[in-house]
Amino acid sequence: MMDADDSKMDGPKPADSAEASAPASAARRTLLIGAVATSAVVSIRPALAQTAGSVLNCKIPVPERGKGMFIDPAGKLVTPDTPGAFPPSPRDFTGEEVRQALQGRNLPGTTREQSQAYLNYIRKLQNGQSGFTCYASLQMPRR
Amino acid sequence: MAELSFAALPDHALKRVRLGGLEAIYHAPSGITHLLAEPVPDLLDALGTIGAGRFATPRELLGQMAEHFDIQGDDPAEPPELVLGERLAELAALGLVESRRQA
Repeated sequence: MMDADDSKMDGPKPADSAEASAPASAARRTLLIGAVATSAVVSIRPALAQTAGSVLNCKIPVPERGKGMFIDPAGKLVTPDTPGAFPPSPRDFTGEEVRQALQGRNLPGTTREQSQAYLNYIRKLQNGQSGFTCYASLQMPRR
Repeated sequence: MAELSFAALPDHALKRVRLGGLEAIYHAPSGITHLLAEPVPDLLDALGTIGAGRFATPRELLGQMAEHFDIQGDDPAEPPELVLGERLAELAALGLVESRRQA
């Protein structure tokens, strides 16, 4: 798995406190995990046409099917009799619709408040829930 | 933050190519390619060693990585598992690793 030149040499040498200036012959490599280290992240997005199959057309159901739950303005799932809660969306939203909504547009077929409630639900999606991967794919790198 | 744990994606989700000191990582689900520097490839390797879909806390991962690396953050006063957790959370935000709250 590791193919860095020196990472195969993992002999049990004592850990010294040398910084990144450790000589190339050192058996152990110092891994800098500070915030500065990962700031050099560049993300290359493919041309629009190539994303069509993934980000733009992936689906996010609001909420997951078959639960019969409504969505309150904070995006929480609540029982249908909860005042101020919105019914489930009759159709899934695409990644592109959600992307545009995150930039300030309403989700199609929704009022302003309903759109915000749905977006709040989508923001809370966790790994394993329907639509999470689609939503995660929309995330922009934060720095 | 502290109770988050992380897991590698399945092998087919990422295509990784070393480019000298950088690594180009193609994330198949989103079609986005990320150019990442140390320590990211090493973090992905370490999670990959544990196995795709098997969740580990930053502390557990740190223990595993300490067999191969001296781990160093910006500030010696910061607990390394906290710093590692921040890096992993950034990778999770990019979609390059999975994260979940500890059950």
